[in-house]
Amino acid sequence: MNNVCLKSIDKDNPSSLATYETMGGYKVWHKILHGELSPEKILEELKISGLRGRGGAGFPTGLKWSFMPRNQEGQKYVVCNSDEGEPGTCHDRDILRFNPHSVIEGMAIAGYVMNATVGYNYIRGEFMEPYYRFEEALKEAYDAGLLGTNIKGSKVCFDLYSHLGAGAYICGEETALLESLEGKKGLPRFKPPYPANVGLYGKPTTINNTESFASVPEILSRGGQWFADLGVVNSGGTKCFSVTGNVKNPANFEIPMGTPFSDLLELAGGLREGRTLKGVIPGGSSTPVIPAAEAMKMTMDYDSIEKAGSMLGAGSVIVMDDTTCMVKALTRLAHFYYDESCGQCTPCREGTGWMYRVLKRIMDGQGKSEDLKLLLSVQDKIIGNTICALGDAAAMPVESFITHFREEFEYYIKHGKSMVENDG
Amino acid sequence: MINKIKKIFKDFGLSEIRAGMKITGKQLTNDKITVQFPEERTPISPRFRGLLALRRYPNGEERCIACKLCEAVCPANAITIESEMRDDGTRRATKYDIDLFKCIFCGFCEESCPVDAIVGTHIFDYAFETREGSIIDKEGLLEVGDKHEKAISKARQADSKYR
Amino acid sequence: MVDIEIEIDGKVVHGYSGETVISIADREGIDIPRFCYHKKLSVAANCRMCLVDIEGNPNPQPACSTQSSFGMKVHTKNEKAKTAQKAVMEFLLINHPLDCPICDQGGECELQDVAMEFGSDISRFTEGKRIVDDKEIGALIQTDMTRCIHCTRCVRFGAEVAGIVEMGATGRSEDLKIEPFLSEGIQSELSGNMIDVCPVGALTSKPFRYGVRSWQMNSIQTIARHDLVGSNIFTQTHESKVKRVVARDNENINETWISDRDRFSYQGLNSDNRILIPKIKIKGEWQDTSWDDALDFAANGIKKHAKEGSQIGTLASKNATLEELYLLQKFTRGLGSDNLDYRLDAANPSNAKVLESNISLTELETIDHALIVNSYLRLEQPMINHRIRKATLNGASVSTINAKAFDFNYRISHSVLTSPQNTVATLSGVLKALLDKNSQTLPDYLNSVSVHQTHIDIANALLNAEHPVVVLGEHVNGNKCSDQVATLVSEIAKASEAKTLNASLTGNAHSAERVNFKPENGKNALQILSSDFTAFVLFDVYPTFDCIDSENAIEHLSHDDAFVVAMNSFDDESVLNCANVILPIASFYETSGTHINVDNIAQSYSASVKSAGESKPGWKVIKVLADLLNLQGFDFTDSSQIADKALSLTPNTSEIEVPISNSKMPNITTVWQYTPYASDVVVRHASSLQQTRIGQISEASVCKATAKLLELSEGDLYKGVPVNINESVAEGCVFVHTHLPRQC
Repeated sequence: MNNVCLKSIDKDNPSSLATYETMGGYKVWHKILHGELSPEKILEELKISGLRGRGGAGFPTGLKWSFMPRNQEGQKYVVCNSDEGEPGTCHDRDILRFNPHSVIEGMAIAGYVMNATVGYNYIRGEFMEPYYRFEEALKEAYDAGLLGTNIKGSKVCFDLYSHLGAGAYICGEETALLESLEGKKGLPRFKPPYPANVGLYGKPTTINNTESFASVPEILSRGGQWFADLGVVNSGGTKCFSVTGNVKNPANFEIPMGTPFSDLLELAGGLREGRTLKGVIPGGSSTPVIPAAEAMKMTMDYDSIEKAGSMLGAGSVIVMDDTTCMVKALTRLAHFYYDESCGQCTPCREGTGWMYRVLKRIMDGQGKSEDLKLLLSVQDKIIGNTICALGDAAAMPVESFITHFREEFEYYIKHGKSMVENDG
Repeated sequence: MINKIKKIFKDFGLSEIRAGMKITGKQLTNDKITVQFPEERTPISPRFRGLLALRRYPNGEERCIACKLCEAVCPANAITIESEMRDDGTRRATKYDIDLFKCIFCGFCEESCPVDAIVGTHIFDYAFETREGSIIDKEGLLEVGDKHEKAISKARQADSKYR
Repeated sequence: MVDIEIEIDGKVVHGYSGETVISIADREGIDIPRFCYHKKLSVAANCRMCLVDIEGNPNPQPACSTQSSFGMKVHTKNEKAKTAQKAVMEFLLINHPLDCPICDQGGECELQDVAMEFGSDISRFTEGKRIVDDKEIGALIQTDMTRCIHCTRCVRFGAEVAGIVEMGATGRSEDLKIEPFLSEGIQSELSGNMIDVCPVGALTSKPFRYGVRSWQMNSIQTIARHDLVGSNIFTQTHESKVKRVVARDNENINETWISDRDRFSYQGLNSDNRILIPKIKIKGEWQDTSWDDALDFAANGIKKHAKEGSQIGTLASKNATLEELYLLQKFTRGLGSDNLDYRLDAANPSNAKVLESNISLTELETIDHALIVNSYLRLEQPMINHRIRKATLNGASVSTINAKAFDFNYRISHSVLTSPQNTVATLSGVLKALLDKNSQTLPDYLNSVSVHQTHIDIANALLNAEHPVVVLGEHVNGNKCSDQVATLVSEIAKASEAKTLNASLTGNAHSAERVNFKPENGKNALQILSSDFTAFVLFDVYPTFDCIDSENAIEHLSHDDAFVVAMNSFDDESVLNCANVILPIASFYETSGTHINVDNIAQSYSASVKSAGESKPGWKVIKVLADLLNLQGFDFTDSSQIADKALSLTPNTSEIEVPISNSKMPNITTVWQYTPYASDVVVRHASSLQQTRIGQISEASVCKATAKLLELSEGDLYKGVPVNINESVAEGCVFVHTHLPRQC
């Protein structure tokens, strides 16, 4: 456990450069500065490692980096997405708090591979402590001559800046993040063109998640195969999971991919006494909920979770036991998306509010028997019709909650109160 | 031969007159069905489309918003409306004229009205004394509406479940 | 631009590589519903109404942002596309109010139209609808923001076309609001186009509010003639009144936009100040009369007072139609006079050759440098300024030589502040720098000219540009050395191989030039108005506003011996004072006519409405007057016959040598510019335009040093206009920008 991104978590003064270096930090960067590691070799190792984007979509990182027009003239950018806003997720925060240098090194390597000389780390607005930690680490790295122009006489240049967001969930969407970084309102752009061609300030840009960048130095120092072997086929390496909800010991756990869910639950201390598992949201609030029976059978990797009917997403496992009222849980989620929709495109702006209002009405005991049909129909009309994935993210939980826990909703509509007596 | 004898008996026995008198005698005691108009009136369907009227809301505000849908739909071009913004910012008719010579009482205006302002009343017996009298203006229409509001709303109520 | 082939609904169609699906579909007449897409604005893809099924894509894709690629198969009407479109329609309608009956957009609303096809009869939305506060954004645009569907067309219009970001989207989620950032209201001179681009009734025309419904009006194709562009418009009329003006597409002239002046000036036509009945003055008393009597009175008066034909002077408005100007010059010359002019605002109406315009409006978009001389182009000629702004968006630079640093909606790279008396020197400096660069020999008059660094910068910018243009604006008209300025501009253009655009010929002045409505040997406007002529004919002239030396003009015209025939469309006190007979004539949109624009395109139009009261089209009045005076050659029955005749004329282009000499001018001069909403009599009567911030402009800007010389302080009145002391004005001049009548 905690082998890659969170490996400094038990050390004294974990975020310092000294600690990072004692763990083998910046070894890869030095190698690059000495000209011992070519971009091609790095890409190859990354492809072998099977590292997939940790932000949610799971796109292979090596492949993504190879899409950048490396030899194209002009400025290119590397952007780290630390706008960790997904409800239930907090592992990027811990990476920034305890292992910021791994992100710096990862981004520097990415910059070198893609011939981008400027990087930005977009940190969530609420993350004040991680922001200061990261800033401190950045200063240390600059002081140690690890960043800047013509670093240690190697002709490699890389400048890194951190940027604090202003508190919008939508800015976690990569193109909205770019807009926000440019100083505009965080509204997602339509794609294509993709950021790899037209990104920050109209220049080619690669955006990766904090955890993806933090994994890179370790992969390169220990080899792609080593990383791949940690996990299972198609899901290489380790992954940080934030386990929250009705468990005794909610925390972040970095575990190998393919670990059974039951083991993860045990790591988190299991359920409280006398409770039984009801459902699990495996990848953050945007992913569909999985009922207990399926959840206990699944292992924590991309394919298994998909087979169970959900997505690994950002690796935020929300555990719900039998005291959870699913109607209330869904209403809360619907309110979140209703509040956080950017309002740009029609289905999401109007649909999230509609779904929330219907759910709220059910909660108020005013539900009608046709409401469930209406909810399913509305979510179906949002999915796939919006510019960015927020519409899908808002719609999918509705579908999965109603499909898996229909009787709870029907009970609530019929009786005007929850089926779960001691809610919470 | 036998028919001839039957006819003679019938003719001289005054049988047809007796049959006729029988009906007369019967009706003598029945209720009368002649309606003494105008003192008496036949019942009218709630959907009857008579003289047009403009209605008000219970608070006295006129309903008409001068949307001119009735003017557009009127097949006889009997309606003329002019509108403007009233001081309180609402859209109101400054002129609402119906030429009753042109009106064919089709009821399209009532169908098209989004606020149930223009309605057909149950009044069908009206007259004007001058040629110009056929044009009834907004005040006139409102007056009809005010006068017969009770009947109008009752008729709408009765018909509401079929709408 | 590779030609590619795609399939839309089974039909094979052609487009350019990179062209969006919707633009190909539009060309091919395939209907795709849309709200946020507008062919002249950037793609936002936020309404999602144009979702179509593209084979190979799991999700429906927006046709407005999807670029076509070879062999693409698009279905706009299959199950998948229809389902998506209906879904979006339902979402758009849930929070849209059902107030179509009182909405001015009702009947011409894109949302209504699309909802007829894609909407459901019954709403499944039973919650409360969203209500949004309205914003007060000025006298022209009425907001009903509850109706807004957030397509952001108005926002993009402001940012991309008007060049002033005034509207924006604030808030997020359902609280997203389209609203102006500032409370002062919309200030753009093109703001009315936001009404046209708004697909729903959120932005509607304020003067039009709640008057008539769209289906009651007739739309008549016509031309706006306030400026030298001749924007194509529709006048929408009801019961013989113009109720609204909207833009008509013409790529070569106004694209799809029109200026606020063209859009809202129609209000003036319906003003109470129209002259409706012919009037004659008998013993100093005005009395209404019949047309016959009035015309006889006018004809006899002219016969009696102008015993010699040369004793008559004719002045016409530069907004008159080609036909009117043609007939009026024929009339005057037929009487034996060559004393006629339309240049009432010119300080130096010389016979020098007029600077020609040799660049078309569409070409203006392709320039890479513009030198603007003597013009506040943004307010004077909004549509021309828009073309130059489009060029700047593609990288063109602009420099100016002006009396004041004006607020343009693009960046000015080099700017020289120069007073009218120094304009010749400044232009000479630029010319000298140009000729020096080209190593050409200098003409004598440039020898003593001093060249400043900015002159060299401007010269360099002109020389480095591949397609430069020099624009001469209307401030030159008030300059006593206007002929020298025009000559120098022409020389600068020649030396830098630049095109020229003469924006000083405003209104329908090109028509006046075409029919030679100026003296060849006779007296010009200034001379006519200081002559002892005994008869004058004024055609839609309002001396207080139109004449550069109005006091002198009125004094001469109201002379006891002078007989003045005034053909006017509006009542005016100065005309009442000096005229002996007033013949009411039709105003804009009430008469057929022809406008010649800066591209030399003659655009004819027919009358949209009957003329007010008993007034008659100007050309008919002149014709009858000519007949009464037994003049030959006026046997026209239709204005198009006159136009044919007039267009066959060629303007007099005799070259006259203009010596460049820094002729003596006063130490302090005044540049007088009317606001765009005071530029002609119709627009001066358009009450809504007068209430706008542009319409309310009235300040005499002067720099500190000049203010000291003139002993002016902030807030004083200079020629009736409040003084504003600031350093954006050239030394030695007062820049008066106002809607008030000219004072000398």
